[in-house]
Amino acid sequence: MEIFQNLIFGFSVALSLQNLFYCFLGCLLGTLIGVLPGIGPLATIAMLTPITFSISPVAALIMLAGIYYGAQYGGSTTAILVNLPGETSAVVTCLDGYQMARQGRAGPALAIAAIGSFFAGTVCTLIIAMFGPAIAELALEFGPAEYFSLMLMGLVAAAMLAHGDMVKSLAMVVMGLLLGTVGTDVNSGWRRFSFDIAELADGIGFVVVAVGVFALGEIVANLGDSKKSAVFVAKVGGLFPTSDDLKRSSGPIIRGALLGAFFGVLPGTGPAIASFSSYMIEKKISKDPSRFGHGAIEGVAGPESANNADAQCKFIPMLTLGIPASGTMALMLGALMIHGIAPGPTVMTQRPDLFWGLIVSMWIGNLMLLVLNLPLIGIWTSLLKVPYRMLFPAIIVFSCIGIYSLNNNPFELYLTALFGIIGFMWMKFACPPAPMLLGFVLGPMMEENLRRALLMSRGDPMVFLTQPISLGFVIATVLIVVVMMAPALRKRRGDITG
Amino acid sequence: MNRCLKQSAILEVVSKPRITPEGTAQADSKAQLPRKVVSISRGRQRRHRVSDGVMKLLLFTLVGVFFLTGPAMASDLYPAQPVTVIVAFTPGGTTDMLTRMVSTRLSEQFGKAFIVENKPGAGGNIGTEFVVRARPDGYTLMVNSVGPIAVNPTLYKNLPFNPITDLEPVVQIAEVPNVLVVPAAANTPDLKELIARGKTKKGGLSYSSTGIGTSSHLSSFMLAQSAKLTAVHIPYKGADALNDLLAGRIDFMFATIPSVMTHIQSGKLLAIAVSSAKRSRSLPNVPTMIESGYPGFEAGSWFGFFAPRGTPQTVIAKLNQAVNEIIKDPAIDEKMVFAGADPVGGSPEQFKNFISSEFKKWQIVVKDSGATAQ
Repeated sequence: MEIFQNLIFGFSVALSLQNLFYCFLGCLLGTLIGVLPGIGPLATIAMLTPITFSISPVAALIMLAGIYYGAQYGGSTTAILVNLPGETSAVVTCLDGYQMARQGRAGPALAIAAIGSFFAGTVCTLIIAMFGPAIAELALEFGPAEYFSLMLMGLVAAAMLAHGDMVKSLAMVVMGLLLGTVGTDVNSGWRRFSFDIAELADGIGFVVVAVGVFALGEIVANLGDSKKSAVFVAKVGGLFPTSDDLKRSSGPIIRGALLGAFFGVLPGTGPAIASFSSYMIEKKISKDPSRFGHGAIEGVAGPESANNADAQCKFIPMLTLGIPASGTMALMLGALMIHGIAPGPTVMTQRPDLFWGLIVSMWIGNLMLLVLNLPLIGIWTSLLKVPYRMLFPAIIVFSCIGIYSLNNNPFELYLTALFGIIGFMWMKFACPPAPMLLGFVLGPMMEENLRRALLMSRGDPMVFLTQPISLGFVIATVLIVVVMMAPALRKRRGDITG
Repeated sequence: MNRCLKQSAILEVVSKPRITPEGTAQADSKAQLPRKVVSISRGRQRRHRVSDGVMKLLLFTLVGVFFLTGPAMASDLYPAQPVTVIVAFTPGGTTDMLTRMVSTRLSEQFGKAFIVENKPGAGGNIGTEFVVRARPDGYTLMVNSVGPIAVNPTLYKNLPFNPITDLEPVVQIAEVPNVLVVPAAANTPDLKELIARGKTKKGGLSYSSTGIGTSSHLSSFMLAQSAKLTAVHIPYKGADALNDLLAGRIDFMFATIPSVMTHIQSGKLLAIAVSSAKRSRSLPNVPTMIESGYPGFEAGSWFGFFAPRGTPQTVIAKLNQAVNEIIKDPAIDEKMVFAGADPVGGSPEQFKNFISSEFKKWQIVVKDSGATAQ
């Protein structure tokens, strides 16, 4: 069994004292920056890369990778506790995680997030070890037409994210699409809706919108409501999930891990898509979808597993194809290059110690994170007893530091404040922000891929139907529409006859 | 917390009387500008200072005492405090990589930190404008590339500054040629066959680039123009461009050498020409475009240090000398070969003349290509 030999070789590399130390250091740093909203792995890795020049490339990559997936663990913490998405992918966790916290169930939410992430990490380690290079080749089959059809399916399914008013949800999706058009058009170089502001030339940052709408909007709304108590929750319930929680979560965790692995392999998808998809699926197949948005533990378990799986599987295209799937991956690619290693198809044969050592270290790192995170839950939940007057300014200060560190540009802070006001207004009008964010993420990618596919086919729209993978997604999209419309149609018929 | 704030406030006061002869000249020239412009640029600097203060609070508490006791700012003592090196692109790119490589050595050599700060956005214009408006005292520098300096003044219609006159070239670090790559499966092993295929293929060839107006795009445009080919430009945002090329959905691309090196080695992509005048040290077996029958075809990227206009000449000379020494170091040189970069060096004047010829060259190409960003 070659895989076992490879894994054993990987263990021998990853378990060296030095590599274990850097793995731990990376995970610890990752957890910390994950907890601090806005300060993402990108900025941290950029700052730490020069320091890693003096250590071996294997240790350097193990540490940088630890920061990256450690941040995915930490990112859910603030999302659950104070509705502040610490990382892009944690936005979905806000939806139900924060509601759980408000009901005094922050402990189980945090625990299930950690357990789900650990499980997803384990699955991904195995997937990479067994099929890594083969999957990467498969991902190359995804061209612009395939990406477009996949995202079209995602956007149509977004209607399922809606609870409450369907019209408002759809309006918010369109709002997100519109916000996504801001910035320089990739194909023509023209700027859209940028009002001659240089900072808007690259569009509006996802973190800016997410922190503004979710965290700041929530704070303003809370302050406006004088009837609420001065602390989030007076009584914090049990710290650990009950057996019922575990039973409910097991399905979502498995599905989330597989879904995350799927999206992780595709370099053309962003970090939020995996968790959004997982949430939508869990809500759709749930026996009682109305619980979602009001503290359903499945809504935490699925997306959290998905985003960790996604983060980890993003290493597949990076290591085997040399294609960075995100800014953070581009940075690690750069770090490897400075060490004299060119990531790509040759890494596995030329530097097996790096490839297998890293993969095994990721599993060890996930175990460390689980051990690191579970005891911390008690401390985090006690934060909820901190009074508003101290908690709110702290959240705002940390958010500001994080957002400034994205591009070192103060303009982004003003923009976040603006989105805080807009988010507050949306809350007052009961417009759900999650569909808006999905539209905002998918819109620009869909447009880019649509136009790219048409450029390649020299304007022939049939390209979406002649490519088998793309055709599959188009058919699935039509099915989703039919399934969604069916109950409404049946109901109307019932109305007429009855 | 209180103590930190106090210290950074003191630092503000101390750093204010930092005036150099050229500095006053700079202030005069700014006074001639319309009033609005002046207030905007001042506002910007102040904002930068305040937020910088927040970011560096921790640093200040640790080393604040040293700052307070060392207010001598004469240029012969340069650098007397940490220097900020702005990179107008995201971390991880070639500009960032070269900057961090050289800045680490500068910190060692001068015993003061050269802190690399990324200010990406708008094709490098945001970071470049920031340095144009910065105090010309040698404590804000930047490493910039062909795009923002020589291409953007033509590409962008309403650039509120002129990178050629508003920045002082310090030293050219390196040249990084682009390499023309095709998917191995496409069966076009040399330039002649690629062109021949382009003439027969229905709808013409497709080429990808890392964005409109980048040297990747303009090099391909130059090739199509001189070979009289119909070719469709398919722009991407940075590194995504490789995906479709590897899968064979794109026919050719001019890419930076390190981004495709591993694919060339593994045989997935074929390198058929480099865009520099001389062969690249990283790919010695690949002919140049000139050798392949396109005289005058030279379209690489280059990178160099810049300072705001009005920075003291002594400071510029000092930095120039230091960087020239650093790029001769074998350890740095080895890393540069790997990054596909050929070190250049030379005097500030040489760099200045090079820039003005580059500007003229790209002006023609950008106008011919019809590319625009506005």
